[in-house]
Amino acid sequence: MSFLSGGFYMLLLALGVVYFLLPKNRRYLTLLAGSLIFYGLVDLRFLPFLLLTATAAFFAARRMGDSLQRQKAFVTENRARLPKPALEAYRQSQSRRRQRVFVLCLLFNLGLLGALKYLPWAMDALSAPWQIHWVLPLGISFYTFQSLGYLMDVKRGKYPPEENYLRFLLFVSFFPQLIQGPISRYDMLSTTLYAGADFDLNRLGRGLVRMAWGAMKKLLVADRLFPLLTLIFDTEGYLVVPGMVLYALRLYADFTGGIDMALGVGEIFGVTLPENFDRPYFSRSIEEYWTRWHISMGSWFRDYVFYPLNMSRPFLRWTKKLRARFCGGQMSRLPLYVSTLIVWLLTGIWHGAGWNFALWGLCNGAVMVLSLVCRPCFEGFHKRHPTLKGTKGYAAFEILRTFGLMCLLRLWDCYTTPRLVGRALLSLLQSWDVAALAAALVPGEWAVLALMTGAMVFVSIQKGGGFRTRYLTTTCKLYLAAALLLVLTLLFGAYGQGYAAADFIYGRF
Amino acid sequence: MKRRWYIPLVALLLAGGMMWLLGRLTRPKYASGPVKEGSMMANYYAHAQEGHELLLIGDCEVYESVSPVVLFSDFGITSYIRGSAQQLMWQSYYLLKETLRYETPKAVVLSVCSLRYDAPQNEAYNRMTLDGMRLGPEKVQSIAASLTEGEGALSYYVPLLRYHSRVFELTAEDVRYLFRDPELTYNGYLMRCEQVPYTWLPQAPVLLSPNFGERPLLYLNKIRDLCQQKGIALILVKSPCLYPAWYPQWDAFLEDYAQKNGLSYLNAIPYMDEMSIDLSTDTYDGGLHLNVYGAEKYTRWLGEKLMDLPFTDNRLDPETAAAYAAMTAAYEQQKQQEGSSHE
Repeated sequence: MSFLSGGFYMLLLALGVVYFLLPKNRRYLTLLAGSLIFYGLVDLRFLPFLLLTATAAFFAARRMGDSLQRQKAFVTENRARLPKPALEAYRQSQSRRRQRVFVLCLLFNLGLLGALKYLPWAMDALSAPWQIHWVLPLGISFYTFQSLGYLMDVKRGKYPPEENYLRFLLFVSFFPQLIQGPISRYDMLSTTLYAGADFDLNRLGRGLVRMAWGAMKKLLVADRLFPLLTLIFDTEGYLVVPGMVLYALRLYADFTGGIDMALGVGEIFGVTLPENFDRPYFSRSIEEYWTRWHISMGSWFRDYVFYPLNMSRPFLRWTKKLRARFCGGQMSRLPLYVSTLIVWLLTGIWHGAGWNFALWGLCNGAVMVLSLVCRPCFEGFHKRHPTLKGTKGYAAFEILRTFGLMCLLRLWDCYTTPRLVGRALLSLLQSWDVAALAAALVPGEWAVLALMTGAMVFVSIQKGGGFRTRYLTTTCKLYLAAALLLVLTLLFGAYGQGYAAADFIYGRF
Repeated sequence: MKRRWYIPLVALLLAGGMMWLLGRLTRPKYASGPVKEGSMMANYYAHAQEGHELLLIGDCEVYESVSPVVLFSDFGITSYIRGSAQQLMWQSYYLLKETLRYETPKAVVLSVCSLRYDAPQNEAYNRMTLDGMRLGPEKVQSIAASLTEGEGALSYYVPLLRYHSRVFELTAEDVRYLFRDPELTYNGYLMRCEQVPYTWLPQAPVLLSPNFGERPLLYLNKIRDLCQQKGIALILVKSPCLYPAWYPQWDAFLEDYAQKNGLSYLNAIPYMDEMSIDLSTDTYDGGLHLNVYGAEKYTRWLGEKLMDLPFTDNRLDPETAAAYAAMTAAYEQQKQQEGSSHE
């Protein structure tokens, strides 16, 4: 079952009816039932893994929460009675206990993810005498990371653990975000997830518009480009540059389309999911780009890998040593560069089991490190030319530079081996068969692509709350827009027989 | 804020209306081009109230082989063919059931050629049979029975879902036939005037089982029961053709079936000489289907066989005669024009 299947809309309708008929405090159960049905309909074999991950995280968090409670109670009770060292010893013993539980759960959940997602690939890559071909639950990276984020937050005492297993299971399995994100944070999602929002005609309209807009991006742009890009990337050499640009367009339309649909479904039930994209192709640097593209994943790695790594004792010691030795020069920042590379390697691996993903991650990390290393030079340049940075021309240059760089890096995504990437890069110098590219789609299809791309740009440059807030100001306008978007999607979308239907790309992760 | 419940309903109706209109626009019209069979199903409803004494149901072996114009001119029988390309037995059943809601003929002629198929075969043929049917219980059941693997029923009810990709290839024809279907047949008969003589006979595949499949037989029984309930004579026919092969075992089965059920079974293949069918001039595709010249010969032979049934000589009814005269004139004109162009 996907967001674009008829069954999904039947399920949504049924859930909507039941959800708003139930008392407020029971509504979350509808969402939970819907989520489990949704995931079960995708593939029943996936369910046990989801339940294992969620159950492990729930009980581990409960244990850590209990330990923290016990520690607080003990300290409060005995503050006057016991000496400080005794209190500190108790604190440390509890902390160690929490750490043990945390590590166990971390190993269990990451082990599950590793075994299911990476072990078959590793066996294959190492040409092991036996190969493993077992089920890979859809969205496992998303729900595993969401559970681990929760676990780390509880360990840090950011919020108390959830006491109700069913509520926690809903947090992990909430169906709009289950397969392609965003990776939500418990403290932010829980405020609306369990609130049992009342029916609101206006909000329903807003959700429907967002869903229809997402489907439109997916079916009018991403899926229309899918066969064309297959043609380009199957034909070695030619058309790599337009291929890279069109691939960037397809990725954006596919990813944001899926996220728009997820956010739209959430909105219908009054659940606010975090925005995952913020006009990333308008970024002026690669660093900025990664704060605007798949925001929830980027911030997850930042908060749960990058910061803890940099703040870890070995890294702090290393930084201190290097600072003392190199007096604040570039070499003293080596731990920062190493942690950046580690985070990006992990980000690459998170995206998929394959050398190309690892190399893609490392390349991103290398570009990041390079930009950090060169920062003093850039700053010096801008000091000499202070007016340049404020000009529109320079901004456009930076945007194009970042876009081009990202397109180049994505070659790892388009070609599966370094040899193929190298060949594609070398072939940029060969002749371009643009006529073949033009003939791959009929003029009408190119026109739809151009118009829809223009519409995406127009919608994404809206400020002050976005297109819906600015133009769809009444309920009437919202529903008319939803109806129009639906009809346009059904008319111009690339779907049905005769089309090579493609699943949402993030669903693969 | 005032709750305005009607807004979503209006939007839904608006979307539904647009989808219906765009579905009409984008569906294939079959008016020009080599495939003309697609509009035949929808054409029937304009003729449903005319009242036909004979109804012919089946695949190309009726709609290209039997001429209602000849049946009227030579025998005075008013008839209509509800046929479509590779019309499967269950589709014939539901079409018959639907037709009997509009009229009750004295006899039904059923082509048995499609008894050979016990599973849905081809989406394109399904479309040509099902798209033109009016929405009703028979259409719903026929769709459910006909879906091939990977097909979804929804696109039969919302044609836009299937035909939306034609939006990039629309022509003036699509606008011309937006609200009406092109009428290319004479009471369901699709005239073919080309003459492509028989030159070779393909090897008949080895018959794996002498029996027809369970499914087509089930629907044959349903057709039999339906006709019995309504007091309609049922005649099973196998039209003349060289291939695909019609096996003696099938013939024997149907002889037996007809005898047991008190039906008539007419296999025309052994009588092709008696009909004077010449496969160098009377077929448009080398012996697979009859052209208009062959169809007229076969129709006369069939008409003779049907004369045992209590049909009225409708040539004596001025109103019916006038209607058929107009149709006959158009029929002859097309035959003359297309016949000479193919010479």
